[in-house]
Amino acid sequence: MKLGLPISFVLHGAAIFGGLFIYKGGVRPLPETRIIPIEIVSVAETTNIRAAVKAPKPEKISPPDTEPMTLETPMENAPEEADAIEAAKEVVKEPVEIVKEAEVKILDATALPIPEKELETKPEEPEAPTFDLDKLASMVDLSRETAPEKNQQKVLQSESNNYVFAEQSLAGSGEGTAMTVNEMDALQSAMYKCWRMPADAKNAEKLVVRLAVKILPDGYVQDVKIIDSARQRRNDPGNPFWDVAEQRAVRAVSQCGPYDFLPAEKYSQWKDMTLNFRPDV
Amino acid sequence: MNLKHFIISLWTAFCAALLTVGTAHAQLEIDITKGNIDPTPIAVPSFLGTDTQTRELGQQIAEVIRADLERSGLFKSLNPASFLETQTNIDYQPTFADWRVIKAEALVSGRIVKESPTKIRVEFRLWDIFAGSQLAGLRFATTPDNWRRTAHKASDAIYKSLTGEEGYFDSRIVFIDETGPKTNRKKRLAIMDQDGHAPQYLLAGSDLVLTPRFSPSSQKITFMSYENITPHVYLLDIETGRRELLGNFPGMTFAPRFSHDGNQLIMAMEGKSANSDIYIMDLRSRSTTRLTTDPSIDVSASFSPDGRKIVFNSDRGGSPQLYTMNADGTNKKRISFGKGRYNSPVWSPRGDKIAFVKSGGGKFSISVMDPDGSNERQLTESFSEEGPTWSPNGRVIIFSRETKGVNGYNTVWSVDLTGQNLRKVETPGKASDPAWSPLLP
Repeated sequence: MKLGLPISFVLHGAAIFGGLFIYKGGVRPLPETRIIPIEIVSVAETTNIRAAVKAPKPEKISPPDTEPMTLETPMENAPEEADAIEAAKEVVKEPVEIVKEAEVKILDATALPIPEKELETKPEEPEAPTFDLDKLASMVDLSRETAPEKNQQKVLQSESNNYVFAEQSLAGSGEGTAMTVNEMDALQSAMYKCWRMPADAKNAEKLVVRLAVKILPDGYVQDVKIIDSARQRRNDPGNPFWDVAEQRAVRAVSQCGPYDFLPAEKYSQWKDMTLNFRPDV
Repeated sequence: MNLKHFIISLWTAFCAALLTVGTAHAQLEIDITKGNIDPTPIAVPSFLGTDTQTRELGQQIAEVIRADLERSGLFKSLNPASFLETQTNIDYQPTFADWRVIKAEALVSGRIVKESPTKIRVEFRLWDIFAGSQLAGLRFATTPDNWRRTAHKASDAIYKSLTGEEGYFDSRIVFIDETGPKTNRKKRLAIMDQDGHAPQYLLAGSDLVLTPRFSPSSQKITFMSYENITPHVYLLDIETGRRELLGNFPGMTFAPRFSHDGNQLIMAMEGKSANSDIYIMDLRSRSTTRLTTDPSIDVSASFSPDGRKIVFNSDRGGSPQLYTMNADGTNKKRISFGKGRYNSPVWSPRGDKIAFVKSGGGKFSISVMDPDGSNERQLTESFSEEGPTWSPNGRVIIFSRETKGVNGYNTVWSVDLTGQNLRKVETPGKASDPAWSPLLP
């Protein structure tokens, strides 16, 4: 009794696996027929409903020509005049014959102020209006006060955004959409050109920087964020090169864009990536 | 009963596996392990000035900064002729797109303001072209004739902002100036800026002076001199010119080096049996402590920057090899095991490497290894190389190299910790035995 069930399992299993091999060649090939290409037309494209809420097409975003120019950039990280360095005055004397005359006088100088660093590189490109829900929402919020009938528009627009996202995620699903080794290689070799590896830093191999990268459908970088910074830094606390390692990784990602060489049909795969910059020295 | 449990857990595992497969490709994660080590392209236009004098100074300061950065091997200074934008006021943001076109990654824009006939103000901003942000902004008040040091200080600030480590441009190098043929060579102690500017002699006469070493914390040097019949170790304060014989020992004292804080001196002293041992002298109390007692030759000791360890050279194993010990002389451990002879070890101010001279097969090389003896790497090789010394930030090594033959002579060279960027250091004549100062105060 007790053995009956396991025996049954084993035998059934054997029968199923055996069957797979035995009947492998037993299937006759289908008769050759002409393949008729078909076009899948989505309903949304043929109805007015969608046309009414047609999403504005994402424009190709080029990097801004100029930053908004502030008329006066305060020298905020420069020291005040009073604190300014009385840079050491060096009294250099002629080569002399007596030891005591060969002196180089160095007056006191205060320590240099530490330059302020900006770690997070701002994304190069302005965000695409299509995807900026907050911005749209805020625009509609404004209009709500003056033109109540536009409230309807807000709903429609946000729905249209959902639709675009849904379409993109659909495009990326299914078989054969996983990134291939070649595509990963393309990304890695692009990074090789843009990433200045901190090779000569102290314990360079421990300076691992993790970045969360968001990319727009046209390949431009939407957002780069350093993630797990505190946890990574615990691998080598006190290493003075962490700031620069992070700065360089962020710069590599923004400098290497647009990532238009990545396959558009696999957008759902690469729209959100985690890149680990791991110097191999 | 057990079987039932087994089946249930099997089923659960199966379901879990299915679920995992369904959610596995949640997010793409890629490891980037290879990057380039190309120099950073940087643009340094002439600093702006308000009159002829300040404009001329502005040009000279920019030239010194460009030369400093270029010499480090980490930067490529872009040709000013390629600049598209000419800034007229450094308080405005530069047109970043114009600088991106010429592939600059950083821009230094500065100006000089004359405050009085004897006082100028040098200001500059360092811009990150890709991030479109300011990385540093500094202001120095100084006298017009002190412009070179101001330029070096600016280079140090730029270097630090872009590489993460302290610069080394506002520093000096002590060396032995050599004249005359090999058989009758005159050696004089001299000092110059790290870029070879303003060389001058430190001592009168032509005493045979060897192995000058800088204090890591002050403008003092120690060296060995044949002033008396027996060579002894001396101390020289560069600021006051005061020279002092350290201790009156019967045997010869040599190979001195300062401790990390400048308060102690470690050196070798020869005993009666012609072997040498390592001693520490406290410079405040002048008391000496003996650290090694082995009947072999122990020499060339160097402190780690935290002051806890000492690396030295000993032939106790048959040939000269490197050993480490605690600062109190305990826990002696051999760290070098390669073929050839290991000499003149010196601990990096960064603490992560030990530089030394390795010789064998008629060749000498400057090499580095980790303090535990691993990762030994040869940086240079030639007929004869000696006396490695580290830059204050522990990234560059300078050393002297001698050419072959009766007319052989010494010159000073520098190389990066990575073995890249080998170049000759400008000296007024033939020179050897360099020693790098700490950053000037």
